[in-house]
Amino acid sequence: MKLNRIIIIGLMLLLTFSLMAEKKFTDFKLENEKGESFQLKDFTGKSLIVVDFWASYCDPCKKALPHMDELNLKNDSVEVIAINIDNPRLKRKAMAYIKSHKYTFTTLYDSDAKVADKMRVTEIPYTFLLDNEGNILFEFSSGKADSHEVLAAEIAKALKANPQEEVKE
Amino acid sequence: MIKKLTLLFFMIISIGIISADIYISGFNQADFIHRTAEDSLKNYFENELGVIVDYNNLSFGITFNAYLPKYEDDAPLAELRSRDLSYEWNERYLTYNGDNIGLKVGTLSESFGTGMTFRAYEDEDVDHDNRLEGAMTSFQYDRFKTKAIYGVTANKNNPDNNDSFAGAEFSMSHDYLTWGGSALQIREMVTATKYSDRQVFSSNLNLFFDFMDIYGEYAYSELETTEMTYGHGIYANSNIYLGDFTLSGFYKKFKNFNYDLNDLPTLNHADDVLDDYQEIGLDEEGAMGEITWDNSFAKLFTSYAEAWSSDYNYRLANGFIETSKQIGNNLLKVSYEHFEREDRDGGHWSKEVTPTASIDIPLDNSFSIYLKGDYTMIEEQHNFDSTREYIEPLLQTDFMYKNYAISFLTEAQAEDLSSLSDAEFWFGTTFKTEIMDNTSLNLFAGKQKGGKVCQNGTCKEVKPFEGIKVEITTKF
Repeated sequence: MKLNRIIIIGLMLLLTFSLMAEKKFTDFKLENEKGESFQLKDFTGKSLIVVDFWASYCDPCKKALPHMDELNLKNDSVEVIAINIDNPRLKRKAMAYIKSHKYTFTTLYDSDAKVADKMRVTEIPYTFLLDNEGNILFEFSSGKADSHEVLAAEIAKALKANPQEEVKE
Repeated sequence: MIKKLTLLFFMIISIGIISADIYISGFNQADFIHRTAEDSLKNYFENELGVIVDYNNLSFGITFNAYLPKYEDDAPLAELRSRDLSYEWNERYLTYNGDNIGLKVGTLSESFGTGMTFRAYEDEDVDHDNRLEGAMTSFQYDRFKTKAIYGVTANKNNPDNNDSFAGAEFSMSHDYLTWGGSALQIREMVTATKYSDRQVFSSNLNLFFDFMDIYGEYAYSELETTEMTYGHGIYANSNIYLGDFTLSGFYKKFKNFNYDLNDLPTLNHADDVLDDYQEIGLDEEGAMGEITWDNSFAKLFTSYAEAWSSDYNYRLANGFIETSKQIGNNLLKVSYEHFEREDRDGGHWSKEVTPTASIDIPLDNSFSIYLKGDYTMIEEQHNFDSTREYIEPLLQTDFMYKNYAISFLTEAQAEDLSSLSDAEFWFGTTFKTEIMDNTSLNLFAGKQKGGKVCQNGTCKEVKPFEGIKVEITTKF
């Protein structure tokens, strides 16, 4: 009886502590168009990471990509990763789309939607803002007209909250 | 008392330390469905709970679904009772993800390459689920990658029995190319006492340069039943990048390459199959060409595809052209699509012509309006009968204000414009908002025709439906 109580209390404490912890983005392993594998820890060189989920059939997603590119080019503190969730048979179209637009951000392909499913991305475009340890600072459905401005404001807020944040080399 | 307090203190400290590395995340999605169709039970309730526990490189996930009763479009009314509670584990897995080695046991959604030889996945929107229950291991060293899978999936004709799958894939990447191959064996139930064995071997090559890329994949299949059937699949694609222009070419050829655990490219802009009643991959060949012109002045995209069976009994043609222009903050789009299919021996033929115009008007940073109009003209003939002509106009209006989004979609089917008053109408409203941090509300009311719809800034596939759906999703 005592042991049961201890186990129950232990499990409840574990659950409480775990739920109180900051929410983390999953440590994925995905490939780019050249078959090179990337993990989340490969992108922790800047203060903030923006992860944007998109697909080639989604017009609102494609509309948001130039803003992502601008963010990647103009903000030294931000690394943008675009995760494409087109199914495997449409992956080649997505690759051509990115290459033809000469986007500078890193595009990774999650054709089996493993990362999208784990992060519960049920509609696209969907964007996460992470700190350089992978903690989720902000997430939102980013297909609205002012989405890039909402994201810019959250980035400014995050940078202001941690102005001295050391950038990892 | 002191002993108990000391024990509790140490327990809190040690659990606090352990839980620093444990992350529990998940979601809960509750759906209430009120279906207004006459032969329906009317009210349904569904709940889906997903929990993922991560501890360093280990991850454990479950998804649990409960239905009261399970909603199915074609379930006979006599078998539905409002008190019938059913539940299922939709997904269970345990994974280990190391830098070089990965292991997974449980429910597997996986594919090899482009999915031409193997793809196991679930798509709830179209009621597709051929995921495997089994185990997978992957290994990566420098530029070499490999993975091996063994699993079973329910036979599509006899769900109480399983088909089995075993397969392995490898790939090597270099500076300008990747190459690889795969081999797989599928044991599929044909009758209650008989299984067929299929072996598939494939190879692929991908070359990429700044100005162009080329991809080719060839697969060979042997199917052993009472006799041996040989099949093959070819898929190729090349893209050329010339300044503002991108030229793309695609080719496919499949012969006796029809099985349940692959996903073949359709190669047409409408993403439709050669024929609705012939098995995909049995006998088809096709090509598609695309030109994209992307300039600061305007954008133009054009695509043309043809597909045919070897005896030309089945034929498909699909042309599409779209231009878009940014005028101030407003985005104007105009497109035209032509889709034609024929089954000569069956006397089936259909042609759809669809001009579309849309405009996206952001009035200020927090308020935007999106307007879209389609006008599809359809001609079709079935079983050599006389040709029937009708129209399917569509009007869509989306309003987005801060965290609120509402969309009105009206579709109709009529003989012609003059008989619109007698037309069949589908009118649906979708409302979406965030009701709390990490909790969203989706509401649909009305009648929807089904298909891929983009509303309120997001896109998804929907099934035909009439009634009310309320969906509350919470992430934690």
